Amino acid sequence: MELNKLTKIELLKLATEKAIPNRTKLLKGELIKALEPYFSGKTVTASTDKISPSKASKAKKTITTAPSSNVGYESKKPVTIFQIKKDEYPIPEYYNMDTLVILPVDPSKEYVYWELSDKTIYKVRQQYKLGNAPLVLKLYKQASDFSTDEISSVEVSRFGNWFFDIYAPSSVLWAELGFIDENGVFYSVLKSNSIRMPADKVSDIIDDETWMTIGHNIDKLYGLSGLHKTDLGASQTMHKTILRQLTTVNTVSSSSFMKDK
Amino acid sequence: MNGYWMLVLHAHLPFVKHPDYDFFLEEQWLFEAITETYIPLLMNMKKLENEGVYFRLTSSVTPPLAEMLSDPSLQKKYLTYLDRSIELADKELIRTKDDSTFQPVARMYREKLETIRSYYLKDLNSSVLNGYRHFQDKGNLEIITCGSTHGYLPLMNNYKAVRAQVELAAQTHEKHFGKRPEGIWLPECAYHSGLEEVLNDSGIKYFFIDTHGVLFSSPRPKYGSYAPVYTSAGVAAFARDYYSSKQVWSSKEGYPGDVYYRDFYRDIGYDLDYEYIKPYISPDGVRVFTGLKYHRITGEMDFKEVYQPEIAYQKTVSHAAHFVAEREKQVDEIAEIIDRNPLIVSPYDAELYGHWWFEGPDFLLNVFREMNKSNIVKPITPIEYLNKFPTNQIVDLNPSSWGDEGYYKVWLNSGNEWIYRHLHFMSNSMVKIAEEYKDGTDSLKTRFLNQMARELMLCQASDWAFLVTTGTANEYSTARTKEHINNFLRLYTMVSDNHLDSNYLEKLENKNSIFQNINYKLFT
Repeated sequence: MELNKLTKIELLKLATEKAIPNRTKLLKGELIKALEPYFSGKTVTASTDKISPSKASKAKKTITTAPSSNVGYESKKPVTIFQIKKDEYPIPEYYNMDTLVILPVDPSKEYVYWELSDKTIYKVRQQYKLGNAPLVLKLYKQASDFSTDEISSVEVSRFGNWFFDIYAPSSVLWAELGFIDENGVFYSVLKSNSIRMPADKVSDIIDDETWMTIGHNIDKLYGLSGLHKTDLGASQTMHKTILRQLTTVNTVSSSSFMKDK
Repeated sequence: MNGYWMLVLHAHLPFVKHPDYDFFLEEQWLFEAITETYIPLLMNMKKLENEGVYFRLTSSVTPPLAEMLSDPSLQKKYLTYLDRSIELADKELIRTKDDSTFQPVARMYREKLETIRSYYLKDLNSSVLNGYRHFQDKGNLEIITCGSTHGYLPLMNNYKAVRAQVELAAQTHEKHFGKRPEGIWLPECAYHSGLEEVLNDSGIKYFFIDTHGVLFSSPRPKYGSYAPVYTSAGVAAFARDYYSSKQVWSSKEGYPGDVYYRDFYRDIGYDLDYEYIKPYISPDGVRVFTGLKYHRITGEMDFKEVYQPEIAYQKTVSHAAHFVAEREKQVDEIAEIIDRNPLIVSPYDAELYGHWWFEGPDFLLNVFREMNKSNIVKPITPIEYLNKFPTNQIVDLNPSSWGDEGYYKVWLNSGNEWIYRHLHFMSNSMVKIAEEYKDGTDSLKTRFLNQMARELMLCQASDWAFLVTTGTANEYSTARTKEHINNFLRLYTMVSDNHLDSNYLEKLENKNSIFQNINYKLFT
């Protein structure tokens, strides 16, 4: 049935048959939308006669009809359905404290979030006479035991978060937050925790003692362990594959716990 | 015997309990998993036991799952769910009585559900955990734990928060399984340096890590992913085998995509006439899965043929034979180049067997039957292996997880990054306030502090960040995260201001009732 060819009165009649809630208040387009699940593609079998693959309805959209009674449940009280209420549980955006945290994401991505309290900002600006000097977030890398490299720098506001895309496998990184004065001098206010980034290849470090016993076969062994496979370390990708295999239909009910790693 | 196969199943669901509602969509996760995965797996283990087949497997039962499976109100709700499924299956027998195409599959569900009901009530005495304990006692099954609420350990910024996740998990495990756990499935298989110290402190002897977590370790691992390694704390790490995972899930050789296996999405909850199916879907009229799915995968097109249970079962037999033959080949190939019996570790989400891959539990049944005949490869548990091979190489493992691309991005990206600021604030506050009251306080305030610990832990569940990323239950996950943050902050303010609202506390204690014996001093 082509719903958009019907008049509003005809649609309303159908909506009454299907007990669409608030049907009298709906505009024509809204009525069509509400009725679509009943008439999408093929005609839905009107009675409870048998279905066969060819007749089975493909109506997989949400149908919003309210039940006429408390069907199937023992409880006499009306069934209350959980609905997520916006702002039922408000949470603060930030905590008005001093914090700077860095977390590794993968060998080429780092996440940083921070916050500077009013008090600290006031104090530091006063102390170093910084006026309106901008706040800057810097990323550092431990270059050797004695030296550090600044590897990235970005102007930021007093609270926020940032993803750096710095490729730094196996490196030790940390962030600092501070002001830069007009001469380019950096006044560090907060220093984050340090992280060691994950590696993305086989280690150069060879334990000689154990190395001897297996000799040249190590390459073959690592190959047999899956090294150099593009989807190594991607159980999730594999689990997605199975989902694709299980069906060609992409509709997913939220009642299913999608563990598609 | 030339080598060993270690099957590891990770059985986990986040704590979902909504006592105010008769029907709650996310509670169905648990009920579906019991009917489709946990009970079918246990019933098949029972078959193996009766047949005298030698079988060994390792399974986590995560603390939130164990708490839900032993919760009387959820047990009661599960039985209601099961009875309603049976009622629907009965009606389906009548509806299809003149239909020789669909009647056999309708009858298959009816019989299956009845068998499950009887097994649940008689053999399991209404608690799925009884089944797990049975096979643990028989030595077939090694049960391991997980983070107390499946918290993503590498993204916690407080050592004491990590320790609390591990230690509470061990305590909860002991409560449900009678002894402290020797092994752990790290939440999301996510490892970070230093974690082994925390595990060791709680008496954990081994954990699992993704393939590249071992291959990229330093120094190079002598046996690749074919033997466990030790961390500096002496805790062993077993690496996931790339090939056996691939075997099950690959698009070319993968088994679950076979066209004769059951299609997951074609469910009568969506297919049948609305008035007819209405009593068995969500009470607000929204169509949901009923679990009765009548079609097979068929092929790439939308058209689906009817499911034929007998043919599908025969497929599990041949797929199992193939799987075992492939493991034998793998073992023989590896055994030639290393100086010990190779170990193949195959970890999967438990729910993939049965819930997603309907025939999965029968596949595993037939794998063990087939392996029972093999002289080349034998099933083994981690503790059995470590007892046989107590000497292993010591390495520094590589930080990693089993998520997409192998690191942390599934749980930390631009969609869910906002969670961590709050989690960190909460865990730091928890540690601070636990320290303040480390010598104890009055019983009311103690309950407040304990509930704060529960709210923090529930908020830490990696499921929420995961579901935001996949977009599957985004709204619910966001709401749950905000709910626990809000609850925690309100409790924290009440304790700090010494203004304790006991009505509010009781409401939370009833709803977020996980870990009845939790002690906030875990955070000191």
